[in-house]
Amino acid sequence: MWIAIAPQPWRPEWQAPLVAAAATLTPTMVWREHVLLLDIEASLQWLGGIRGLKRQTQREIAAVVAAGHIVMARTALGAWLLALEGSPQPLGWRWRYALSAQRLSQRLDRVAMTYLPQTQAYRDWFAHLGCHALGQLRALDRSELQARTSRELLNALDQAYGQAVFTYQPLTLPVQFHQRRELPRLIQDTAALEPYVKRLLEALCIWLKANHLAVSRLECRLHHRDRQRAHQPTVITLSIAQASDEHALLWRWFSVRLERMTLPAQVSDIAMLTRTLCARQERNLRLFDDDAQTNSSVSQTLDLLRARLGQASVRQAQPKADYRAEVANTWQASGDTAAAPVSLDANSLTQTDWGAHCPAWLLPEPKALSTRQDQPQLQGPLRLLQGPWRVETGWWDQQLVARDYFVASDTSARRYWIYRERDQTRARWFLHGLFG
Amino acid sequence: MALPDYAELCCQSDLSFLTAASSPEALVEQAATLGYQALAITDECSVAGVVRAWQEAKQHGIHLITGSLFQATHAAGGHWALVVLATSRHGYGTLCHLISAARARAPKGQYALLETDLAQLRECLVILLPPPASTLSGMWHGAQVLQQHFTGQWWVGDSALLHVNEPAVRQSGRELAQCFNVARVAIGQVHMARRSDKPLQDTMMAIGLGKSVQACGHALAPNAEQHLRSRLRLAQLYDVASLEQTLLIARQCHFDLSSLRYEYPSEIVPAGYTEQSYLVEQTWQGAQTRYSQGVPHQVATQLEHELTLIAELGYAAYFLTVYDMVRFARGRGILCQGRGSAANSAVCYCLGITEVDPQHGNTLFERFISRERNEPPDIDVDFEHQRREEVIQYLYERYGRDRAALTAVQITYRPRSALRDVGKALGIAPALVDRLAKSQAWWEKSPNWTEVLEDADSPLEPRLAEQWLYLARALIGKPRHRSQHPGGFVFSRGPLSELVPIEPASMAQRQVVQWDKDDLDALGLLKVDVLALGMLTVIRRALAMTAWRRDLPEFRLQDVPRHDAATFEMISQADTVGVFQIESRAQMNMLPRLQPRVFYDLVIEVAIVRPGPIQGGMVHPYLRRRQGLEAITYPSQAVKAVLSRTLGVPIFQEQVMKLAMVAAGFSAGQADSLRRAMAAWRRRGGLDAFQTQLIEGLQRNGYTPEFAQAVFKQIEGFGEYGFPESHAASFAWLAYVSAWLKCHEPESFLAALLNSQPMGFYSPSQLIQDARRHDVVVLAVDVQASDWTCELVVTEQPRPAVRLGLNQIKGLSEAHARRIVKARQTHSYLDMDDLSRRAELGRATLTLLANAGALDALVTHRRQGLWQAAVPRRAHDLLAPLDSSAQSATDLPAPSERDTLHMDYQSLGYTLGRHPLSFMREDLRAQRYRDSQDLQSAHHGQLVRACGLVTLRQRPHTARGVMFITLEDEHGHINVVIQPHLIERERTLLLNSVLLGVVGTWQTDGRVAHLLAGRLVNENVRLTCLDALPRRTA
Repeated sequence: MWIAIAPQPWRPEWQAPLVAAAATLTPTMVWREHVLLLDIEASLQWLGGIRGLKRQTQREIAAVVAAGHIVMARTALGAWLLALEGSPQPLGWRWRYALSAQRLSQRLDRVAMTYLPQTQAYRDWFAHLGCHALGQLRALDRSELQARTSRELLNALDQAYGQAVFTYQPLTLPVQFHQRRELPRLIQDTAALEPYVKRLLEALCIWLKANHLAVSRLECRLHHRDRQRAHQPTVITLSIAQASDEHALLWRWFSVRLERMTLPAQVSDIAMLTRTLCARQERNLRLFDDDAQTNSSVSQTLDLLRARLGQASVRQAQPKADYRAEVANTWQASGDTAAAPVSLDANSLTQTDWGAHCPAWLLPEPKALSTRQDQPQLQGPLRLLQGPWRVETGWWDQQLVARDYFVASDTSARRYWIYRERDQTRARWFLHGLFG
Repeated sequence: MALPDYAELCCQSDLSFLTAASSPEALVEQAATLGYQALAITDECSVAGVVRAWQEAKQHGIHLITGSLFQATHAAGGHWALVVLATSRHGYGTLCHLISAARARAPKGQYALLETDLAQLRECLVILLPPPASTLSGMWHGAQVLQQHFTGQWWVGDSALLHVNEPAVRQSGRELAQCFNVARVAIGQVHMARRSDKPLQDTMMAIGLGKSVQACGHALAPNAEQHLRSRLRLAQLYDVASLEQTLLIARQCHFDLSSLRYEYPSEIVPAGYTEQSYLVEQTWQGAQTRYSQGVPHQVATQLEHELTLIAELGYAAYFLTVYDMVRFARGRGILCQGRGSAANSAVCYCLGITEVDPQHGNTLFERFISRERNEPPDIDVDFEHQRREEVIQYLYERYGRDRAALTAVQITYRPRSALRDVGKALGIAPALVDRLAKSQAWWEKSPNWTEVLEDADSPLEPRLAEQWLYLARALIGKPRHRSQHPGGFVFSRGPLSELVPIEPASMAQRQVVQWDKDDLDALGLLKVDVLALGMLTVIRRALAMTAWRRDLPEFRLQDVPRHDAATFEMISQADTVGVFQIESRAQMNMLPRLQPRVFYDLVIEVAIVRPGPIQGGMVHPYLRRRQGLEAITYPSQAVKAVLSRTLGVPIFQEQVMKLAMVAAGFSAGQADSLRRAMAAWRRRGGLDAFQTQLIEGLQRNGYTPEFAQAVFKQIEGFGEYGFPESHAASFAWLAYVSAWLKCHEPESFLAALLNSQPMGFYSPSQLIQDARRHDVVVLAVDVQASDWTCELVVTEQPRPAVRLGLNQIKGLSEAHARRIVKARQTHSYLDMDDLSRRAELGRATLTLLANAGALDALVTHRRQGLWQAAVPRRAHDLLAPLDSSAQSATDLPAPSERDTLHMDYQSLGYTLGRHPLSFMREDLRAQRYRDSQDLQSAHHGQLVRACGLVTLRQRPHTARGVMFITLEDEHGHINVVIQPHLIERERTLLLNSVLLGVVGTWQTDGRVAHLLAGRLVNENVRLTCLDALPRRTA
């Protein structure tokens, strides 16, 4: 017995939660063109027959996706075809059944042939022959049909009607470490929590080693119990630059986080689960542990900074090829996997050398300068040393810039990067950056 | 302080394609306004813009320098750019040669300059460009190369564009100049005429790079300094010496395009003759053949006059070139016919280039060549469209590939492509760009504002939408790439690449010059148009079939009777589907009113439904005079001589010219400059100068101001589509011949038309329906009987039938069809197996045949044929069991009539069975839709409903925004007129509907009837079972 789940409309981001929800029903499942097929033969008895199964499925799936088609049928391909055939925009989940072989063939006979991918190559031919539904296809002489089309087509047809075995590669479910432990007593103090967290980490590291994995992102949840109020569990998320399976290292970051934490209520349970796993880098053991290739000091320093200052406070440069300095200098929170450093077209940089003339230290907002006799002033008159460099660009994203940039210095020989707006007849001067 | 003088020596126009933003004309005009001494147009590896700039420069009195810009890559990294300026004619020749050589090395649209190429340049000046065109390291390398080839003839460019790092770059340039001991010259590296063109320039660059402007980064210019700057600004930026150098260089460039002297190819004359003597001999020989009873005196005088004029102006070679080409075609049996302004001459008639007898014509020789002007005459020759390639190959063989090339056509942006490319460059979502570009109707000349801004679904901010439309509008008309003219050839005596650069075209073995038709015209270079005309193919085929039917050895064009009453009767009833020229909707409306009775009426008919006479309001006066409702009067005898042929109403272009001469006092040369201005005013304007002269002259001679205005309007109309009498006469002759064939040999005519598709106004479906209404028997495609082409077959009836050929089946290859016909010659096929074995056909071909119903003779019905077509067969299997086609176990139901119709439309595009509308007639009647037969009984002003397949949509701009639609049903056609306000309201419906219902008023005057639409209904849903219906949009 099979269940076909076809969420509609289809969104790729539903794939993972759907699989996770379905995993509670059966371990054998397979994706086929946006339809999840579940083999429920084995779990039918366990979940309480067809009715129990329907209840359970409805509950699990509805929590993830709002609408679609669910078909329960004797064969996998049969269920799949009936699910595909459903109306494009159902309200809520629509169930259809084809539990007996007779019912299945009755329903399948009416299904349009085009849903079967194997007929695609012969689509026009079938249409001209006047064959539109699977039933008409089956009415043709079998051996003559096989001679004129392909073995795959007939095989698919047989599989749908349950006359051949459906062969497939079942989905392998993602591995994850998830352990929850009840504490022997309620704990309010983080110091007292340490041994338990440490023990859980040990279990994790053993599991990692056994599976040849390393973790780069993991979560520790502290569940609270309080008579007066219900508390959301406190979540400690740890992400580290270099995936690791070493207990000492993981513990170090956890202890830093725990030190700085105050608990809102007493902790009753703790749970540890992995978020991002990767294969462990196998290395030869050396006599002297001088492993420079991992670049550990930099990444450890960054990890330390992140742990101390918070994720958002460590930022990474995202240079962009643009003549406007404020657009060219963009910064982004580091540690995000998406924030791989962008390498600029080397040629375009060397050719104009634009960036080299802009100071590294830009003001967040250009600061208006006062003028005296059309001379820009910054605690005294400024002297223009170099320039102008004219920038007129950016008309396309509503940050049109029309400026003449200058390098200026004040009486104490400090150097500034200033510009004159070209939009008005009266000169308006701004300070945009400072040279080191 | 006085402003310094300046000459800009590096300036790219939009003919560098998606690099620079301004047209050559705009650049010259701006330079003249700013008071520049000279301007060099230096497109990248091209001189495409110089002719247009040169014409503009003549008007502004500014010195134009011809040059070109090149980029070279240095092997050690870095690139450098240089500008080459021609100082003399010889220098220009070497520059053209260099461009051709660089272009020939690279695929179409690109070039590859080798440093060794520069050694070929003579009498040219070179400027090494500084950044941003070059890199600094590349510049030093370039300097070494230039020093080697151009000692003392090159300069280092100095650009002040306010880029970053510029002081250092300019200092490096100074050092370089010192090191090589050369002077520095100020140079603007101009890409646009005005600062405000920067957004357009950025957009064009982005389109060229295939990115969005946001993603272009440093590929765009940081600022808008690369425009033509005021001299005050230049004086602030450059030192005096480098400004003076620009003038020094400009003074050395003497070359002017007017010094290009064209020389005709010489091999067209046999040894012992001069060009003129050979032409005279051939002309008189031709005259003897044309007039076997002796050359009439009038013609002889005219020939004398024309030959003298030709000798005086040295155009003999031109006539001989065309003569040579036509003689070749005649020798091969290819039908051809000349037209164009010079084809009206007696010389052309005697040389066999045209068929218009000067005995009857009132020719105006000055119209095409005059003493006052040094421009070559113009003759276009039409050839059979399927055999034109033979003529082209002959021309290449005769003149060699280095001396013959095709004229270029600059492909420009149109509303839809402009919307698409600008949308992409602004980074707008592709789906939205696609949707809006598609909603751009073909009849609209500029992007549709409302659609973009008011579209509720478009998530576009108003500002972005505005930018999109502004830039799209600015982009319309800008050149996008260079393509080849369909048949305009340029020949020369010496290598052509010294006259104008040649580059490879996208078609293999073809090459194009960098100038288009107007440029060549402006410079007076010889151009011969080798055009393709489908109707000539049809006529040749129909004549051959006629000869077969009448059992004659040959039936030639000349054998067609000249004054056939039945043919004129048929034409007068507008029964002209498929007839050349007079088959369009507008022509068919005119025919019953004009009632042509003699050949000359047909000449008028062909010419009158054109923008010229329509805009001049000459159509109705002519009809009134012809129907005797208005007196035929002339203001003077001189005018009578000009207009008597057309009842005192000017219709032809020559008549208007001559009227300008006799009634408004123009000289022959002035009249011709008027014609030239006429041809170009749409693009460039310049007619105003003639307006007052013409109108005042006409009024002096007793014409009313209204008439004078109308004549001027007509002249403007000719600008759209000039139509001289010679054209009209050539076309009318073909129209007459095709009408005669349709009248007397409808079977041959239909078969020839079907074999020559695609061509003309009507689809095969309409042609067949029309022929069947004229009792032509059309037999279906059949493997047992059909040839590759449609042929006549003898039946028991006195008239033959038309057997459709295998060429009608879409997708069937000619080789397979020929095998079918060949294998059938021994004996006809027994069954499908026999067919597939003997003709060696595979499943795909058999399926095509079965779908088209061509196997119906071998099987019980099409589905059975399809089933059997799919039996696996091994090719050449001699021992294959013979009974493999033994009765198959599958018994398929026969297809319904609708299914058959569907298959017919899919594989043939038409059906010989019932018309699709007859299937839904009951439903339509229930909706009170009437059919075309029934509508004939409707009276004028009655409110009626009609429904049919849309076969034709037209919106001629002479019709003041009205659209004409033709609906087809099982009985015939219904002509629908849609007024502009309805078009506005129902844009989408008009664009998409295939089956259209119309509620409106029936209008008829007894001869012509049409339906004036009041409301439109999209009835496409009724066609769901017939989804393969053809859709044609004119």
